[in-house]
Amino acid sequence: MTFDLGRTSAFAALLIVLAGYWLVFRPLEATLADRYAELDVARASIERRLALARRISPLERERTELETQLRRTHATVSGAESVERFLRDAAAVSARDRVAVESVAGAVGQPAVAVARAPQAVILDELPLDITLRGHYGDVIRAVRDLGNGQVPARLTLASLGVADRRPGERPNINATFHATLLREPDAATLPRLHPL
Amino acid sequence: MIRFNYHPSPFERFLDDTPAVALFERLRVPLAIIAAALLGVAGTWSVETQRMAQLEAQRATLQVRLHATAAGDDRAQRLLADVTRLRAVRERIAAGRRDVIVATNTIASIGNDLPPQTWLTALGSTPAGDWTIGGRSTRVGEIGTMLRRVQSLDRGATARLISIAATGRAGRILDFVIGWERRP
Repeated sequence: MTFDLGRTSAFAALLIVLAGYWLVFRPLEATLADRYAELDVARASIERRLALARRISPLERERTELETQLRRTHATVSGAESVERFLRDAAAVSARDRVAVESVAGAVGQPAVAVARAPQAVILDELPLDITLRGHYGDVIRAVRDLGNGQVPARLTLASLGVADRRPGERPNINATFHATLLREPDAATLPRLHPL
Repeated sequence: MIRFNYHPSPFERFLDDTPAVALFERLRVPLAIIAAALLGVAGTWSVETQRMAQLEAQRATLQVRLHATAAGDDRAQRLLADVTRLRAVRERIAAGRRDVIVATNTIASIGNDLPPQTWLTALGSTPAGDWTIGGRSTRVGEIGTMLRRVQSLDRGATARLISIAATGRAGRILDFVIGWERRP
């Protein structure tokens, strides 16, 4: 067997190239790929932030507008003030729509609760009340519509409606009990953080 | 004692058989090949290192820009969260008001569309939106008409007759109860 210098040196050169590929080129290329990915993420983040920053003025305007709207609906008042305003509404509606408010009661077994559509997204506090109205069928319906459009944001659903006992000299009337749920913004301490849309 | 190597390796034989000058001549090309290989690896390392340095410089610039935009981003995120919450509140209030209109319209529809000789005695509803309609009629056929009319109020709901019972003098008046279930 003879020593072939050409083949041996070619083999050595091949080994050097392979070692260079495995020990130098591949690790550095991997690091470079990581760096490129990091830069892409950083660039995307900056673009997103700049886009969001451009929305600051419109968002501020919208927030002011929404706060004004909500103040107008008295959704920001305290619980006691909500109830007071609702009772004033009920008295006004009673006089205007010729219905009698037979009773107003805090809904038993339904304490004030926070409405949550999503597990941690408490949007509004609910104050449940039951209100019973007595009057003519059409008048009661009109009164409930007026109460729903009253000063306090409220959701009214029928609990029961039935023929009322006839009192002397009275037209046939109905008694209608509605679940009234007064809606108000939660106190600042319990305000939720919602995920932006 | 002198030792003789009777079986030299091919490399030893190659060195023994080749004079020094001829050895250099013969090694020149192989050394050049190896040097070229080493040069190639070194060149690659150099280029990659240069690229890395450029990327590091770009990364540093982007970090500065990221830091500069952080305050504005926090403010925008807070604003966005506020606006999202306020929109949700407004929508809930609007939905509450719509519910009142729907409820009163339903009551009005049921009461205004009674068949002849039929009248309501009781209405009830559950939070799930199911209704119970109690009434009286002098004709059993009109109770069927009532059932059909209740069904036609909402195609997505199911009206079903729960009971009919004769009452009053001589059983001429019929008490009926209709259940009206709204599917979600």
